[in-house]
Amino acid sequence: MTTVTEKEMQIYSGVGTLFITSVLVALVIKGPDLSLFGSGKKFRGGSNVDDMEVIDAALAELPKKKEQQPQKQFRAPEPKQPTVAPTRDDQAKPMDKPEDKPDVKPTDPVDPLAQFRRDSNDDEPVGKPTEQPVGAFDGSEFGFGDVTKGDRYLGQLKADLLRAWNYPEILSDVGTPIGCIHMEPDGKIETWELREKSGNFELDDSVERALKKLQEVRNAEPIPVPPHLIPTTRKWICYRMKVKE
Amino acid sequence: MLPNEGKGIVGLLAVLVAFAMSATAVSAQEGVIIDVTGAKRSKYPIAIPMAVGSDAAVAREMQEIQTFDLNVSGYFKVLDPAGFLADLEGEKLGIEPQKWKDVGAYGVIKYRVVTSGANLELTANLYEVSKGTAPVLTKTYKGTKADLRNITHAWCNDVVFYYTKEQGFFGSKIAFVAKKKGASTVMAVDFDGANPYAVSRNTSTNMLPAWSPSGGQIAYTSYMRNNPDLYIAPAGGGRPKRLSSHRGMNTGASFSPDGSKLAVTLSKDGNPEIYVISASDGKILTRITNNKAIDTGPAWSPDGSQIAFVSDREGGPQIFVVSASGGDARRVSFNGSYNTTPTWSPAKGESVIAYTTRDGGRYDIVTLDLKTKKMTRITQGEGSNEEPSFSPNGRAIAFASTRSSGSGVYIANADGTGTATRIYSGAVTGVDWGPAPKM
Repeated sequence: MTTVTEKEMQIYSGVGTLFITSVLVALVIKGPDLSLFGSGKKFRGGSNVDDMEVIDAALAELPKKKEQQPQKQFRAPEPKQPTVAPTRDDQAKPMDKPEDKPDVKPTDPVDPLAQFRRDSNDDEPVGKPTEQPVGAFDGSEFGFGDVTKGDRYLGQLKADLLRAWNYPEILSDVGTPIGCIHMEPDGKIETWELREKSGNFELDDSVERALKKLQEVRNAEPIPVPPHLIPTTRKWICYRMKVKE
Repeated sequence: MLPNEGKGIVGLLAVLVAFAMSATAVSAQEGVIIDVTGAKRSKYPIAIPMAVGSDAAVAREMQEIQTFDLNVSGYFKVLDPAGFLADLEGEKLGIEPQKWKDVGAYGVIKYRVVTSGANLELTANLYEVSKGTAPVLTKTYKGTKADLRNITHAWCNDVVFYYTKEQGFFGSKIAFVAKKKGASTVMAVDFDGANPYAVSRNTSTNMLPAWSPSGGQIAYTSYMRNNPDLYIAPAGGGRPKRLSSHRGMNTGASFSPDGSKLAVTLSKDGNPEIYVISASDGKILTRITNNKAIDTGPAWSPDGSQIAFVSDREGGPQIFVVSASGGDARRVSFNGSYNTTPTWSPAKGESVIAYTTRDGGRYDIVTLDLKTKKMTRITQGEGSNEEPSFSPNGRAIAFASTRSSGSGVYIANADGTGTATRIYSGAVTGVDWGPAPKM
């Protein structure tokens, strides 16, 4: 085996680098169309498509002048109305009580913030008003984390169970009952059971109610089990129920 | 052939393989086990059947009071007696647990009230159906017929204390201003709407009542001497003492938790500023704000360390919080362009304020947790709702409303759930919930 000395290695690598660099420089200077390997076609006009190098489309044309974006009209805020401060004059009359307004809003006669009270919102509406009815947020909505994490079908099932599970706030959260369901391939829950009691009657009872509710909900509108989960439905699906973290 | 050690190893491997196979065979039968965390915290279902062996009219009134109190506490759902299955005559003051489990009750109250002359005696038992036939709480109360409501409230406070170890607020009162016939009168009423009475006894304009922490006094601003001066009256009404009468406003008082001081708005220096004054002689102790903006509506925090107030120093009115000894104020409300009337929740360990917010031309109540920044809407889409005040345990909020079902003082759960209950009808303002009654 021949060995190469370190000095020789340095020379070879230097030469190699020089060669590659000069090739690259030549390519850049002479233009991307130039074929170093002899097709002989010129750059101007009539170039062979196959010999062209693929470049970023953005370089193909000179950039146009940028269009001016429509500028937002900036209005200075309206000058603030001077507030009527109480006078220091002993002889001054006391502040007048306002008349009772026909629409009875609970306003104090001496409310210094009355100047800010308005019948309509300050902001001018922008854009088209929404046509979608906006649902009331009542705290029962769930995010999608559970649904998209892991298996989607099982995630939805878990979300439905959580939605069905209520437990009184004033009771102890100690205990982890285990409840199980047995599903059919068509998505119906054939049976459920409390597999393991926690010893806390109300907690166990709340899990039983939750499983029963889950069965009612799923059986009313069954969602068929996806093929990859069919083997799972031949077994029990069990839930370890913890009230909170 | 394998050496002896080899046989041993093969044997061990065979055992391990067999074990593994059997394990999967067992789990194949068992199936999957999934962790589920996070029950929805709900109300405790409790049954309050009508008493037997009792004065019927008194028993009915007591059933109504207990039902109202436990529902309004926010902790309980009182079940409809129409569905009860138990033999009440047979059970008397006891229970047959299964009959109550069958209707979904976790708790049952059995009571008996006996009257003799002007007196009455209430015996009451609380049961947890899971714990069998022995009551978990049993009490007796004696008094006159006039004490009927207070005795029932006392029992309900004992029930709430059993479960939550929290002082109940039944028997507390709410102060407010009723506007009638051109005058504004400071009134006080039981938290459930019973026994309203006038605190201010003049025909002038009176406003912004504030209970002292002991419940013995109510401070309010009155024009009775032609300037908005601050007065303190006994809580039962009667001759008020004038405490602060600087030129201009002396309004929006809020007591310190130890009752020795009041935070007030004074405009004597030209524009409304917040001061702390002595509750005994009205002397100015500390100036809290000092800027050209309007600073008003002070509310003292339950631990005494901070004062919330309203200021328009950054444009429209917003809520700010400052140390009770003065200093730099920090803004805490950032929703919308109009937020006023801050008030603190007395719930232990919490840092929650409620305030009035303007939204789309109407006024609504929101709460804001200063630690988590979580905002909860208490009212929505029902008229204008203003000037919130928390119950002594922070679980309920009273406020003034002009909703279509009728203007008045309403109380609602502080967590935004459920519907609000009206406890006083009429055009009202300046709502302030008094302290828990001393038992």
